Order: sequence, then structure tokens, then C-alpha cells
Amino acid sequence: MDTLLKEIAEIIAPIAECEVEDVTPDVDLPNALEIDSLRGLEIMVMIERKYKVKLSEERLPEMTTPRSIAKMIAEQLELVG
Amino acid sequence: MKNTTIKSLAIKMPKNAIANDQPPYSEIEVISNTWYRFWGVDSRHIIDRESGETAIELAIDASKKAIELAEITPQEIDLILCNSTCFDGWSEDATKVYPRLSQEIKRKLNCTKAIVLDVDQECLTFLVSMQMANGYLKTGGFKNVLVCASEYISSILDFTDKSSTIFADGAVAAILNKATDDSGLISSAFKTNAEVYDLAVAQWRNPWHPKNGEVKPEDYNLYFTIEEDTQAKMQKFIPTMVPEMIKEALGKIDITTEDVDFYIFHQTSKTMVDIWANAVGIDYDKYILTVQNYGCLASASTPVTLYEAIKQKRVKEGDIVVIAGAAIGWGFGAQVWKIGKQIKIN
Repeated sequence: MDTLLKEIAEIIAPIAECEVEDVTPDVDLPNALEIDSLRGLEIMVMIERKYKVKLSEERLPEMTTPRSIAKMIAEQLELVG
Repeated sequence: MKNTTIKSLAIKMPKNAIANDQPPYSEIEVISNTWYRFWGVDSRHIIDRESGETAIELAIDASKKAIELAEITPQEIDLILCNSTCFDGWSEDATKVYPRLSQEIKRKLNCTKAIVLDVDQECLTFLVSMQMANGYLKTGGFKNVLVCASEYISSILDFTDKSSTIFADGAVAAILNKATDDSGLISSAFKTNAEVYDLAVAQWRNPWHPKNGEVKPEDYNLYFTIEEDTQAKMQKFIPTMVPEMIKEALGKIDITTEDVDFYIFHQTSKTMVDIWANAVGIDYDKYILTVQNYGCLASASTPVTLYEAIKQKRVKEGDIVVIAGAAIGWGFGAQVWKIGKQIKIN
């Protein structure tokens, strides 16, 4: 999970235009890092590409912290086996 | 009955390519990196009317090249299908609106036999025109169809607004005829949804951010118009509709997305193209982006992307290729082509 959170931070940082260190596991993405729906889509695209998972746009509102994103990825990877 | 095949494909871009850090884009109010990153446009070609450049000139140049590459004469063209999303300004006579470009192409290239049609479904039009060409070739006794798109969309862009950074001008033409083998157009799927029609329109208005707040009468024009929340609203259906059309077209001939060798997507934005690619389960080895150097060319976007894919040798003889896209209004479509003898390009 730590590795996953680090990789997620490395994806989010350039999109949020902040340092990787600022993307802590429980940082409030919409409010603290100003991740709106469009930036959220960019993150989703990169997550899907990197981990070969499918995330529905309807789940964007659930992507409120890096930890919640990591959980979604882990769920998908478990489903794929 | 033989399929319809693309014999040749030619493009003609305006001479000026303008980057984001050059006027008029550098003079628009602060545009965030997020905006540029989402749309993916670094540079695009824009028609310079003041120097005499016109959409019809580009159309005729591309059409002439496509005809020559197909090794036929203009007199052997049976049908010309043309579109241009712009309203006026496409001709040397800046006031001319109708009749539109197809008549002019016929006249100037001396396509004496051709009947002409101007077609319009905005960004999807080239696919729609190729579909129509398919119908005429199969049932109308026609042999050679010229399909052309020449976009002068900069004529309806509000250059005081960041939405102007997305689009670009340029022309592309193709000759379609009947294949001599089993190659060609093998399936397609189209859908329209007019319920969200007013998300993106062209409307008569003043510029949104006039310099010093001064609105001059001559600035009142027909402008491509999207609201602040249009992007977010578009994301509710565009990401899924194009992949849905792809799967429907493939399903008709009982093949899957994995059986497709290459995908040509309408270049609406980098992020949207990547979303579509993710939805069909592919990575950059199976599609290309052209939006970064061409911008969104409206109806010319998919054929120019096909052109680049052929030029970069990403598409070759025998490949199964999907061409797919979306249009404001809204329309969605996908075609499946089996590439026969290599399509000739300029």
C-alpha cells in the first residue's frame, strides 16, 4: 500500500501542480489541492493506464484522497485477480 | 458486392502554425496549465485570410492531390461530398455563404461528371461523408467519390476567450472507390443525441472579454460558444458514447477490440482521446495523438489523423482499423476498415 500511495502521489503532483511531498495519503484532493472534475479525469486516465483497471467517471466524486484512490485500485486488482 | 475503399488521402494545411505562446493566444487572459494539459494543443495552423489564404483554396489543393494520387482524372469523379463548419469567409469573396464548397470544387477542378453535395455534421462529417460515399458506390452506379473537408473554424472563434485555443484550420480530401479485394469499409455504427444540443453552439454575440471592456460594433460576430461548465457536462456522455459506437460496429462483424490493429480517434482533446483509448483497452502502440500539433480540426481531424498514422507507418496493408469520433449537436460514430492496398498519401 505504501508503494501504491507513492505512485499515486507521483501521478497527482504534476496535475495538481504541487510537489510530490504535498500529496500525502489523506490530503483533501478537491479542497486542498484543487482537484476539480477535469483534473480528476486526468488522474483517472493515468491511473487506468498504469494499473490496467477500469474506473467509472461516476466514481470520480469518491476520489477525495490518495488513500481512497488506492483503495479503488486495490479493489479492481483483486477483482481481476 | 465489393466494399468501399479509400484509394488516396491528401492534406493541405495553412502556412502559419501558431503556438500557445504567440498571439492571439498569448494575449488571452491567463490560461491555466490545466487547460492546456487537458486539451493537449501546443500549436495549430490558422488560415491567413489577409494574405489571400482561403478554405476553398486549401480544399481545391487537397482535392487535386487526392485525385492525382488515385491516378484518375477530375472528369472521372462521379460525386463530390464536401463540408466546412465555418459559415462565411471560405471563399475569395468574403461575403459568399451559399452555394457552398462542393460546387466550387467541381467548377475549379472541372469535375464535369460529378454531382455535388455539401454535408454537415460538424466534427463527425468526414465519417458521415465516407458512409454516404459507400452508399452511392454500392447502389448508385458510381465509381469514384471525392470526399473533402476544409475547415476555416478560426472564422468563428472568439479570440478573447480560451476556447479559441482548441481549434484549427486545414483541409483534407480522399478518393473512395470500390475495392478489388475484400478490403474496405466492413462495418459502422452511428448515433445522435440532440437532447444536449445547446452545450456547444455557434451563436451571434459580442466577444466575451473585449479589450479594455470596450465592445465595438464590428466585433459582433458568429462565435463558437461553450459555457464555463460545458467541459464538465460533456464528460458525462462523451467518454462512453464513442467506445459504445466502436463496440457496436465491431459487434456487427463479430470481432472484438483486441482484433483491431489500430484506432484513429477524433482529436477533440488529449484527455478525451486517452479516455476513449482506455475504454477500449489500448495503449499508445495502437493509436496516435495529432492534437498537439494540429489542434482540433473539427471534421478534418479524423482523416488528418489517419493521414499521419499512414505517414508514420502505423497503419499498413491488411490492418483492421477503427475510425471513431464525436460531434457537437451531438453525434457519435465509428467505422471499421480493412486496409487493402496501401492508401496513397501526399
